Amino acid sequence: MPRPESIAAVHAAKYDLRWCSPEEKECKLESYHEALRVAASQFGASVTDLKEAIRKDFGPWMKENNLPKAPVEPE
Amino acid sequence: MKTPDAVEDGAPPRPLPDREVWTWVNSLIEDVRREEESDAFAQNLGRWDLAVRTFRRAEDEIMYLDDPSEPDRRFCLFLLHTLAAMGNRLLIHSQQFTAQELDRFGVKHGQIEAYVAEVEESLREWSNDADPQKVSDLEAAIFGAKT
Repeated sequence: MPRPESIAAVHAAKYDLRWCSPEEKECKLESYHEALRVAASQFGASVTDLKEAIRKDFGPWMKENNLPKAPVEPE
Repeated sequence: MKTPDAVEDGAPPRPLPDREVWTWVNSLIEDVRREEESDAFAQNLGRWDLAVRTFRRAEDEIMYLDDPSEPDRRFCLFLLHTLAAMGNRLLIHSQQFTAQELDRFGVKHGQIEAYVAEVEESLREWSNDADPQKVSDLEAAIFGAKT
């Protein structure tokens, strides 16, 4: 079964949040929460349960997307 | 205790010190102290940022891309607890600086708050105590037979 788009969107938002610059944290945190809300609503689950259910899929998603990229060092 | 202008042994009273000068010197000292404090704060913030980024690399390699052992999970949680506590301490410390003072380091209160929230988010993720049956059902609904 292919990974639902909403779950891929959560993974992408989580990855962006983890590796963005400190200046971008506020905006990326909001995007991550929004992606979580959308996916949780799609599956009729709580955000907490959803995060736990998809945690093991984050690694495979990173591998499929050739991540992690070399992190950008802070200036 | 005798005051500076107290008459001593019949000598004429000494004039009061120039209070404006004391205040001025004191404000100069205060400026130096605040600058030292804010520089130390910026250094600590930079070190914390580096520690979080280094943690993320290890988290990617060990916790997501490898097969983490139970000691790995425990150490990961321990480090996240520590990073979250340090982040919260920096956040509290940052409240004593004005936006202009933080501008010197190119940082804003909201950014520090969001950064700490991100670390706390990870802490909650790894210490999740969701109902295993509910999570298992949800995994099946999301990924089908995949997991």
